[in-house]
Amino acid sequence: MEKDVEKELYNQVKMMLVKDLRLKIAPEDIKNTDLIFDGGLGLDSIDALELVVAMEKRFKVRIPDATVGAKVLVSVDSIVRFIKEKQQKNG
Amino acid sequence: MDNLAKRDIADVLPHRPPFVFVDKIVHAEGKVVTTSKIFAKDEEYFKGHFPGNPIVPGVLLIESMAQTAGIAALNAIGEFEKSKGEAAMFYLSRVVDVKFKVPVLPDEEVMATAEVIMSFGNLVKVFVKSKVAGKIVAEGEMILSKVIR
Repeated sequence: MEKDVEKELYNQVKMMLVKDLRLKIAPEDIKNTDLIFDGGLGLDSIDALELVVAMEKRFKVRIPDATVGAKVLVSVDSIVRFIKEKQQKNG
Repeated sequence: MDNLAKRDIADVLPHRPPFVFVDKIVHAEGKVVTTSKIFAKDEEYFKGHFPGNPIVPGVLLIESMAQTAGIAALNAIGEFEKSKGEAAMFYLSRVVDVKFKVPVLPDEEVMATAEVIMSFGNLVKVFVKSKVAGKIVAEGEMILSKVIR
């Protein structure tokens, strides 16, 4: 059951990347370890702001500053980890 | 914060004629700033946009919105009070989904209201609405990058 919830979260994060950042690839083509920036998915620092807004809107989690952002906005894996941590904290 | 409205535009914006598209700051409070701009009918560009049918070019409305967004960004981060408009400025980095709903005519007063939605690092996301006589003529989002000058 927990596996299903996690899989769904991964899918939602990939969907967010494609829809809110207007990526020209299908969500299922994004690997969990693909780098979001630095040439990975082809996004840049301006997209980082859009991603922060999208995460707040869709998952109600806030990335407080660029230092945290540099650790979280690395890959789908790191984003999912952050969302799970925040959601567990918030109950 | 509202004392911003009393200041000369040249003290607030780094832009200079002929590229100032804000006449005055009508209201400024925290993350929200409203400006006004009249595109005078004797401006050279109306001769070509369009002959016999002058309307304000959309790109100039965007610039007016972007300059208003820049003032809102400065006001929101409090940098204006600290720097007196000299240390920080904003470059336009992205324009998202701007819609032009109604053509704007020469000599109409355009009121642009910019609201800072989010800031992250040196980036600021701003939503801007421009109105003429209370009716929305253009709206959209802009992302600005803060630079130190």
